[in-house]
Amino acid sequence: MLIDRDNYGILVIDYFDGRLSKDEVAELMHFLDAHPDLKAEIEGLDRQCLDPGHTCSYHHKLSLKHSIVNCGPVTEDSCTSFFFESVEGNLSHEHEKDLALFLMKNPALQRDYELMKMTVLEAPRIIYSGKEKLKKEAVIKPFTRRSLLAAAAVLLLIISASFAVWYLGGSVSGKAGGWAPTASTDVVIKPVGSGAGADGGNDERNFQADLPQMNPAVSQEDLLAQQERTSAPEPMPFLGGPDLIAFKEQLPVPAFMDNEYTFIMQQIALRQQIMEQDSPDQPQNLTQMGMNAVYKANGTADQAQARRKFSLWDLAEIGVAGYNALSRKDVEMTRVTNANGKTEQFALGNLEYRRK
Amino acid sequence: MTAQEYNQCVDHHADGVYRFILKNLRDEDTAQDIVQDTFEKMWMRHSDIDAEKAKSYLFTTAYHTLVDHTRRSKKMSGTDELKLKTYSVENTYSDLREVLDDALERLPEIQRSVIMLRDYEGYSYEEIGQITGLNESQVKVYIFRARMSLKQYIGKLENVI
Repeated sequence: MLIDRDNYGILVIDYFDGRLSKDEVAELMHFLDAHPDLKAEIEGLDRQCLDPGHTCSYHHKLSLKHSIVNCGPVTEDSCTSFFFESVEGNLSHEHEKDLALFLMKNPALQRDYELMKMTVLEAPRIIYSGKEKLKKEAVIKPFTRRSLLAAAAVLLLIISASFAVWYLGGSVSGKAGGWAPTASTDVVIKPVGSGAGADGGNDERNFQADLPQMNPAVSQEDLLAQQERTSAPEPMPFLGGPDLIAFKEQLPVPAFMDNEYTFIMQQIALRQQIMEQDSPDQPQNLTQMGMNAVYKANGTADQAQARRKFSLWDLAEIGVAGYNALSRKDVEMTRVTNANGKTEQFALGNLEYRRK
Repeated sequence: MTAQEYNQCVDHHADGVYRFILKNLRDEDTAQDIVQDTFEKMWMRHSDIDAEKAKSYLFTTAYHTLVDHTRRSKKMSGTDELKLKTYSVENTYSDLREVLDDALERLPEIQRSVIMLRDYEGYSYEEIGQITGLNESQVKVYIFRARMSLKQYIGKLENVI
């Protein structure tokens, strides 16, 4: 092998590692003798090797080992771990026997075992004196005044709306019988209080007639007389059967129907009758519709089908849902009932109530 | 957990939590503060906590509060408490409990906590792991080291006596 200044370094390292043959060593020495500058450079390199003979022991090897519970017999090396496992109560009955035998054979280690057993701490009796201060009342955090008002407002709103729906639905049913059916299928409704220009063929509005207060020519007596006339119940067409179908064909509502009260009443009656005709299974009136809407909003539609009973709990649930939506909070209302369906326990947020 | 269950927790576990903190800190006032803080935290979340897991919740919260407090104290004092502890045997003892108390005080904080949870409260390795945020093996290692240190301390004392 031809040694030159480029490859001599590799050979030197191999030389220190003992990987060169005798011939190669002789050749390297010859090269170094011929180049004293390189020889001086590599002198002392052999002393830079690290000494692995330095002892550095880790004293917690036993603690790193996994449980020895299922390992071999007790020896002098493993006895400390056995002592520990015994004190910890991790040894099987057989291992305990082995350990006892081992200790009989090696009484010098008995003291070690006793010391290990002494490391088990006995709980001192310490009493915390401030327990009563830590205890809390059963009735917990009330709502803040604002939250309570908001919840009350939402509940009132829902109750009012439900009542209004029920009342309107009931009154329409009651009045409908008293209304005379019209002979024609055309629906012609006279705007209340309007004189000229209120018929079907004339869309021109007489504002002075509609709003007599604005007309200086109308006297106070005339005005009172006109108010009495307008307050009198106006005959409404009863819609049903062929009349209803004809009415449905006429939708949307003609522009002259500017009497809102009359229009709303008619719409409610129409909606009711459409439901009765189209689907007998549907709710029979708007109250039932409202209840079903509440059941749906509360996610209790299935339960409602089973019991078919609307209670204040349903209103309360939707009230809480409304409160959560308004306040962006997550107040939860939970209720526990007994077999008879009677409420036994009730919780609203942190407020808890239980029947005595 | 209801208010009633919470109050039962106070009766059953307040002493244990107090003992755990007091033995760690050796400061009654701070221990009482931490107990109060721990129960207050549990009360704030009592509706979310299962009554059966209340004890574990209490010790976990107490342990974390203890660790936070210790860190703050070390930062404020600027000294490492452990460095101040010497292993020379100078005190006089009347019984083994006092010896162990002294030895316990000299243990590193984590070893002291795990061995107290093990011996005072009877927790399993897994439960201690949940409280301290360690795994089971780590818990066992710390308990082993703690026992070895206590054993060594008691042994030294016997030699001196």
